[in-house]
Amino acid sequence: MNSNLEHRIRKEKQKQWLWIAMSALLVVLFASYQLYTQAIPYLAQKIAVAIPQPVYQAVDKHTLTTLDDTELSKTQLSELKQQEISTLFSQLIDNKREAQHVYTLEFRNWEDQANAMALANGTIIITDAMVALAADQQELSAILLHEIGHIEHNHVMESIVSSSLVFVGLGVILGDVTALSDVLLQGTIIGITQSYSKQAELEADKYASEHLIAQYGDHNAMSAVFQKLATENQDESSWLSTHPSFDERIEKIQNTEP
Amino acid sequence: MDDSSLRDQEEALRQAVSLLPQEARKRYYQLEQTLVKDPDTYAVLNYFFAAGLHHFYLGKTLKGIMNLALMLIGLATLSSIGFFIILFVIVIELPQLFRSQTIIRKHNIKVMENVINELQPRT
Repeated sequence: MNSNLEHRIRKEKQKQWLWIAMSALLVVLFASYQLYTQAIPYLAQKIAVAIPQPVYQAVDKHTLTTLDDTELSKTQLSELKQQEISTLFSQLIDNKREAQHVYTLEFRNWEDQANAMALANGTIIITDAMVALAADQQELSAILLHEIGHIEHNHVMESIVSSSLVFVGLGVILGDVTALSDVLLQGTIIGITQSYSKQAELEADKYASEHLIAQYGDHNAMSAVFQKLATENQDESSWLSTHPSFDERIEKIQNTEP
Repeated sequence: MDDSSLRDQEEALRQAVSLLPQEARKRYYQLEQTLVKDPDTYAVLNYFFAAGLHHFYLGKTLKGIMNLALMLIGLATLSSIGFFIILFVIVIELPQLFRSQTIIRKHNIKVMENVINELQPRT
């Protein structure tokens, strides 16, 4: 009788812990997936919109100052060229005068790297090499509209908020006492923000593509710019990149109806 | 069930154990080590996503499955009514976290009463 009882108890305990392990795994995986795909983007969007305007201004000012102190240098573009691009930029943002963002265009040199970036409150930085890369006004419009797309979708502030949410969330679950939790925390934040960043790039591409079609009747300039950038960045490691591959971006743009 | 009632039951259990034959008493204490549940483990499993793991710990598989299913449905419908389902589950399940000592004492008493019944010599 006793050996039967022991056997029954052992089996019962194994069954209980199996249920616990399986359920915990299922809930953790499903909850993580739902948080990643729904809760964090939703909360980030709502929180970013609720953040007061002075914070946006401060983020732009601080980021630009930091970039100027570390990476960027004074533009080598002529006053005439700057004026020409600024006029084009003004035309592109013409219907956004009432928007909550304050659009400004900044010219900088970045060790001859072709790049453009948007900051939270509407500041767009374009490098001299990027201006040189654009063959005509349509290609310049494509670059500027992509950055305007980031601002219109509020990607920068949403990215800051979602990184903070992931950081705080994982901090609560893992604590901050061990090296392991630190590695897990940083690794997860990098992975998640890179993924969100890729989604944001595709969203900005779509925005630019649609506006190019509205303005010029086609979006060929986008593909042309990406092809030039792809040639310039052939050694780019895609899985660590914050941007999707240029091939993927060109393919997505070509799927947008002209 | 209040604390004094639980103490009475535990006392009755001790009396019953003392009446067991020596060999059966030895087996009782061996089984007690294996079978009694820990309130801290119960509380941690309850707190963990409120997914019903604490029910599985006490061997209440059906209740655990229902709790788990509700939580998964809540997560799956997070963009619509899911938030309210999860809130409902938390409101129902989380108070057990604060009653873990009492729940586990009751559970342990019941389990060990069954053990005594099994170990008692048949007449």
